[in-house]
Amino acid sequence: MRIGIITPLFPPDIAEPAPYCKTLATKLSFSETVTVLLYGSLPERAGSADFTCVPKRQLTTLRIIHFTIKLFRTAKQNDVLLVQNGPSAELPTLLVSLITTTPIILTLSDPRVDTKNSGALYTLIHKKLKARATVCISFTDEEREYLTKPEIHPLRKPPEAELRQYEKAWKEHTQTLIKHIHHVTT
Amino acid sequence: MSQHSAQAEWKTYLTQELSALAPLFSKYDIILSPEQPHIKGERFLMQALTTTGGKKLILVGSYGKNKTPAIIKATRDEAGAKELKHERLCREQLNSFSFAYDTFLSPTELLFTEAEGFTISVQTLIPQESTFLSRSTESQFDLALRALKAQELVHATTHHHFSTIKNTFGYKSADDYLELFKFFIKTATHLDNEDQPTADILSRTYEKLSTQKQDIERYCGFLTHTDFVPHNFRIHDNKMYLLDFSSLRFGNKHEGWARFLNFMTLYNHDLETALLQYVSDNRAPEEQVSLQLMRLYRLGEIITYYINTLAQSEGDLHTLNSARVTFWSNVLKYEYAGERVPREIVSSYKKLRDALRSTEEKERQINLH
Repeated sequence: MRIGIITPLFPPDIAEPAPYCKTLATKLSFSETVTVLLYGSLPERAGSADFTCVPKRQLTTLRIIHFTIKLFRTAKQNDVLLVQNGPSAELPTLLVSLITTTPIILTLSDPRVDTKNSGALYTLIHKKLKARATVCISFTDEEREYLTKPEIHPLRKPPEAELRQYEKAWKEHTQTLIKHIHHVTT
Repeated sequence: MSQHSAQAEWKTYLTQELSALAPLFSKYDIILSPEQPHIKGERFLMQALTTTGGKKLILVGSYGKNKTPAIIKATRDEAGAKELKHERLCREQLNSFSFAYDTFLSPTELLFTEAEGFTISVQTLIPQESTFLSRSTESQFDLALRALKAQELVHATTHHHFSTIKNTFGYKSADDYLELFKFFIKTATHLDNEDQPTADILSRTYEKLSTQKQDIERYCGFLTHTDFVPHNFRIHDNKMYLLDFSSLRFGNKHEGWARFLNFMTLYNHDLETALLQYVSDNRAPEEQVSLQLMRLYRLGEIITYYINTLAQSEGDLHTLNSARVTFWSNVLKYEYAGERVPREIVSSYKKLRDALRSTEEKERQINLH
């Protein structure tokens, strides 16, 4: 299966969904062919995932046009798109979804993006994309917490139980995603 | 300039400036403390190597009718005034960034004025229950990590971000670091032949930094405190207050980490080990590489700093500064090889340093870190 992960942020960016996307790309790349389309230039490695990068240091309009063009190619080359929420990823996805048939799974991985407090334009884009996506995945606060890697403090006891919970949560999350992917591509 | 003349010039400068400042201090209800740790000892030799450093006085005292304990910075040197204004601007702008995910604590500004040719900045003196290094290693680790993480949370990436920071904070890319490193090598090659190993290790380090330029560039665009060491922050109620805002810039995020770790090579080996372990356990392998490269860069910088002090020092201080060049070159040699400098080298250097420091400098060092 060829999976395209579309994200506004990826490490070395720090804020979500960057860490989520890196773990997702790493875990999925163990069994699938993964390409990550991201804003940035020098992403951190993530398993065997490939990267398509759109440099950020250009005017917003140009950046979004470049991203949309690359997203069109990514959509053509992959069986499914896992799109992370956020205006800079959702707008190009909405445009590309009008001219391609690649199934879209929209993941609300960035908790800071709140349509209620965003402008009317983003609310509209989000609503339209949600309608075109085959599946929309959201997380409870507890799920988010379990999917965040616990830090290991060098001077304290390792958080073994939390690390086990983290691995378990990711195993379940990737299994659910794979199930969705198989469902939307068959 | 010899040490004697540099020291004499500093003393004359102090007398002149303090006497000219006296009426202004009286006007603004500023009373100086009898003990002034920031103007004695080796202070006369200090000059910032890569920041906008200018000549200024840093004094301890009180401000206002309530006699609020304060730090008073005063200067009539053009570069010094520029630095004070820049620091103020950085402090004001920092907490207003839309791309900052955390805020920074800083001392409250009590007065900022320009009068009689002087620029004077007065800020509250943050009371400190104990110095950073007198705390447990675990407490030091938690405080340092929290502050380093807060810096990392300010990440300029887009065209808009860069246009916001370019007029206030400096920005350094991997190419800028490499250009500066060329200057470090040039400085070292002017040393006597006996110091050739320093120039050699610096040249080899430059090659390594050039080859791994991308690993440095990957983590550029982050806010970093280029002089993140205990005398530039104070801890009160378990919160860290940043003092020197003029040393903040956007660059490789490990620049501040590297300065701190190199400092701890000398002052707290266990803390250095713990921070390296933290990075190894919790961060991407690319981050470890970047941190290692920035440590090499900062070692090149400190070696250059001490090489530059040699011409202005004599007697014991010259011997000490030569020993500092040798010591930090040794640390660089080991770090370059991916090893830790043996503790015996650190101990024997500290013994020599303590024997060669002047009484005034020893007094200045008390409770500094």
